[in-house]
Amino acid sequence: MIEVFLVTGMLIATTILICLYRAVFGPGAFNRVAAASVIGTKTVVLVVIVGYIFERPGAFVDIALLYAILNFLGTLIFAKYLERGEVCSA
Amino acid sequence: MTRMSEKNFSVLVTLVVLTIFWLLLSPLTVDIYKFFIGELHHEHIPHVLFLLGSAIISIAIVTVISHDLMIKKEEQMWLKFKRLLAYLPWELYQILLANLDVAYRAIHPKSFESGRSGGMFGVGPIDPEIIQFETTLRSDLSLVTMANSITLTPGTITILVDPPIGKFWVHAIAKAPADALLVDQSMQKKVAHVYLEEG
Amino acid sequence: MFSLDLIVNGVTVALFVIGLFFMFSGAIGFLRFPDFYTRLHATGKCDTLGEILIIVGLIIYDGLSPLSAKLLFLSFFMLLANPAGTHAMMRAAYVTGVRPWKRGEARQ
Repeated sequence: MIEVFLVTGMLIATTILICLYRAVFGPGAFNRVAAASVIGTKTVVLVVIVGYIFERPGAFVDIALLYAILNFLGTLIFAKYLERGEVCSA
Repeated sequence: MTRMSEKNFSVLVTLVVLTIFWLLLSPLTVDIYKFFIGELHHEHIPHVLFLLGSAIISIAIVTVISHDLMIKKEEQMWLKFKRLLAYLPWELYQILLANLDVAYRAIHPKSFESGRSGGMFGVGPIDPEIIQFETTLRSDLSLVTMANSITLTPGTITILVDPPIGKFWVHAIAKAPADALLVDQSMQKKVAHVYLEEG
Repeated sequence: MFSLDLIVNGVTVALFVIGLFFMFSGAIGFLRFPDFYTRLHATGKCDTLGEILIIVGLIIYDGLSPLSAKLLFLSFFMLLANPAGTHAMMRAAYVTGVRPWKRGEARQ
């Protein structure tokens, strides 16, 4: 099965590369933030797959959970900042 | 159901949810299991007890601070929960349809040029518009369910919600999904049925 | 001949393939669609289902274990968090006045 995990990981990395085009060239801040968020959610799955490749999924699933929560918070904070021009009103 | 005050109910739900979450993430779950079948080594017991105590203290602190954020007690909660469970399979089917729809539009070679309609779901590839409509839904939970259902069904995403008048701003990717929401209104009736509001 | 391992691995591979198809179509839509709102249509839906299908494949590969419970929680979290993040970005763009693309215009 390790070949399957390797191929799946490489294909997910390819989709990340496709989304990287929007993060670098995409017109405006919104496209870049959306690209960052999408790359983050894809990375969560990639981390889990890498855990299975290294045959230590237990540790890597914890990292993936933490990364998912951080990515969600980051997306919300970026959206709020772009909407209001400030993250936290005094 | 026995009568329970609003505060006790939210405290109880928060405690149960936090405890399950802690058991799910903690490696101590294995140790506790070993303790009950009598395989835990004696040297480990103080260590496990210390971590268990700190877990209980932190769960208590979080519950005291944030129990009122978690859930509010409502009328006929059990009936609403059962109806929500009955609503979910239809929603999952809609998610599958939505994904096939977007995948078709993304791969279609002429998504942007011709104005002709046709294709898998009888709709032209891309003709976006922003629509507004008012609903009869008022409560928080029903508005959240409606907004998430709109986002997950084919071709539409919620942009804004105005809770006092139940008004939705929706971005539709083509004419047909917008009409499904404006004319058909079956989703709105289903959500109103789940939360016992008049459709 | 048909052992249980073979069936489990086959189901896992099938779920991986379907999930990767959805992830690829989401990425292609993100690249091709003409403006910000339609791009979020592609990522908000296809990515969520594709990633959840891959994680469900891992759950089936793993069987009944604490690890599968964690993975199940991860997939539920994605099912809730991805539409919420999409909705937040959509709302920010609409409030700050990003103009939606109409048919016949040049792509942004």
